[in-house]
Amino acid sequence: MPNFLKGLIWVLVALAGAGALGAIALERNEPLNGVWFIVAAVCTYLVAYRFYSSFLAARVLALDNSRATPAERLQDGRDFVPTNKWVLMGHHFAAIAGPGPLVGPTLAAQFGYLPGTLWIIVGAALGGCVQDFVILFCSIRRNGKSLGEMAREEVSKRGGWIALFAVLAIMIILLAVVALVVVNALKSSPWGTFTLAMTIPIAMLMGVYMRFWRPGRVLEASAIGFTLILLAVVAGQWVAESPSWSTVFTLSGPALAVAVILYGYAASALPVWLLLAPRDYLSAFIKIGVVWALAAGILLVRPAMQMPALTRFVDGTGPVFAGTIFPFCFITIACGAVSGFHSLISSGTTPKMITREGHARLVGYGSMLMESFVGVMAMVAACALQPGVYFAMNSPAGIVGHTAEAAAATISGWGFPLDAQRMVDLARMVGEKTLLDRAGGAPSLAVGMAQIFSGTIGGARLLGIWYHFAIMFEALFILTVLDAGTRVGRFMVQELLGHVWKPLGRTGWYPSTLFTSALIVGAWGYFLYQGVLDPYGGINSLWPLFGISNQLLATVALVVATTILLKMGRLRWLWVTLTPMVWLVIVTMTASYQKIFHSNPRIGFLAAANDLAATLASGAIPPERVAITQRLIFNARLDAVVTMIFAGLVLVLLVEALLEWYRILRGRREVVLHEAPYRQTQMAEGD
Amino acid sequence: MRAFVNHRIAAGVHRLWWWLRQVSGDAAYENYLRAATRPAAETSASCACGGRVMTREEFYLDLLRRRYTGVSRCC
Repeated sequence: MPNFLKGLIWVLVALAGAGALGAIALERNEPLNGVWFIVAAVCTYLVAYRFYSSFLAARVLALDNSRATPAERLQDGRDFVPTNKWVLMGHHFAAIAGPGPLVGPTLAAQFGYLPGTLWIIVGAALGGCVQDFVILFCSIRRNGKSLGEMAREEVSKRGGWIALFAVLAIMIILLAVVALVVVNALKSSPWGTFTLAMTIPIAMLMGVYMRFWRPGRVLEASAIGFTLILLAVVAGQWVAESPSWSTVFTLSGPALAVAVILYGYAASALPVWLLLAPRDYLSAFIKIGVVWALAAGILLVRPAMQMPALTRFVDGTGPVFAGTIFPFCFITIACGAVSGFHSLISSGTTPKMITREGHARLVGYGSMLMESFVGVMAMVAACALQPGVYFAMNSPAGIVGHTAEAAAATISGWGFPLDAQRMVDLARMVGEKTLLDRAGGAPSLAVGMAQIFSGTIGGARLLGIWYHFAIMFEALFILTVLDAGTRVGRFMVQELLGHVWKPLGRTGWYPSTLFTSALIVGAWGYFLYQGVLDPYGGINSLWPLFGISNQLLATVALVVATTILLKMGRLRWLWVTLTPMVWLVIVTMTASYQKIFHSNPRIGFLAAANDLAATLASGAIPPERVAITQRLIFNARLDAVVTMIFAGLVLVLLVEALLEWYRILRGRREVVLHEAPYRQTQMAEGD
Repeated sequence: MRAFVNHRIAAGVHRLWWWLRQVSGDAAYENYLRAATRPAAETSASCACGGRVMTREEFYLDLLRRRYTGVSRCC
């Protein structure tokens, strides 16, 4: 194709993207439809991938396709396996795409669609993708070393310990908050609870199939599992309509929390082939399938955005979570734009499977663009709901009231008209008793997705099936994160405790497995239970805590990446990692400060504790609520301490890195790069 | 023309099936066997079974053990 034609096509793509972004930002007269969001996102991604990522690959990182990668040099057919780049991209995307980009944008929709959408697209192109790509590159050059090992070698020994501790702490908060999302989605929902409960025996059946009957036949087992799960979704309706069975599966929040905690313990202690692995396979297939189906649904249905571009809650008084756009929109969206957790995958299995350095661009940068696209679709699905319905579902009863009438009156008073009967009818149509007080984003996203899917297949008749399919889909892969995270957390605890008493460090010793599983499950279970008891729904305190910790881990990753670029002599291009790093430091430190010290009790943990303590001291708390109030006070103070620890750890690492950079720039430290030595690739050109 | 189109469709379906098997891990054992049976100079293939090539079942359990001792799923 002639160069001028190529140039013209890219100009048209850029103009289409700019036009769509302009329409999203400026159009106020009539509701936009979802296609504008898809066009804006896809065109921006295409331009970012074509130009920015190739600039990073050629100028900043100087990827070298003649250099043998660890997959080639250390090839063993198990960990180090040269893999086709499209296959590896599928692996990497399946690993990084979790519930975060679905839940975060749904919660951030309370500000309106504009701020969240812009951050998801721009933040990913300039921040999240850069982090994933650069860390992947760094790990490839170091034989697939982990983020912690790179921090220890390239920044300081303390840096490695900080990274390890930060990962463990983040894991605990992450598991608690995703478990809370599941609990809030399933409480008093016999249909949803039954469907999810059925995934356990289905996964075990798949596990036995792949372990004993047809070892390793993943596709066969997944096809069987998927069919059974669809049957379970349909059967859930009969369970919900049966007076006796619906009683069995109607569980309160605390009861569900206990069930999830017991489940997490079992998943951590049971053999991995029995429950964790088959559930993971199943969830990965459903996840990729639903993401594509949602994209197709949005293009076919073209849902109109009911939510305004900006809501009144930009002032920080939002009912879903409290806090102003800056910094809380960025903290809330987290994974859809920048996710620190991705750096663990980019320095985990992926660098050991990459065939050529040049593939890192597609795998690292490209996969994160796809993750960001998932975030945009979640935003579209959430904003396609009537704002009144969205707020009724996501606001805690402590703010909008316990009945449909009270919620309708409160939410209509905010300027989002809502008819109480509309909530009753909607709940009936999706097969639920109520949709009120479902903080966490999963149910409202499920309603949005169900409306889009039923607009394509089945109409209103299948709304209930689609809703519960979406709930099952969200809960299934949230539980997969819970299973896998608990297990990894258990290994980390075993590694740490192994320094205290050696037998505790042996992963094959069953007493150690049971003990350390109890420790890790107890840790996240505590935060989960505290969230369930929280009168503001728990999401208000736990999701920002998760967002802060996730973004702090991204800061750690970008500090490591910047240090390595500096050591590579790329001073001129240091801004590519330094800019997102500085932005994240500003955002996370501001958010941490506000979450600890803000005078508004809905934002500041200490203000919340003091407020409750003053109410308790005044005698206004009824005697039966005294114990729980004391616990809430303790929890708020604990959350403040946890936030301080997160922020403190990153500040220490930052100071260490700044000192290291200063020594390098002043020539006071010999620059030592811990790269594996160059070896010419033996792979053929087309590999 | 029709034969050409049919051929292209068949090739596309074949390619998609190959990709699905690779991404899902369905073809992992075949990949391992290929690496394990290469000359020693080309690979450092090893296994958890004292140097011999693993059976399909052993390989599956080894794969799961390695996959779930590190961070394999993100948020």
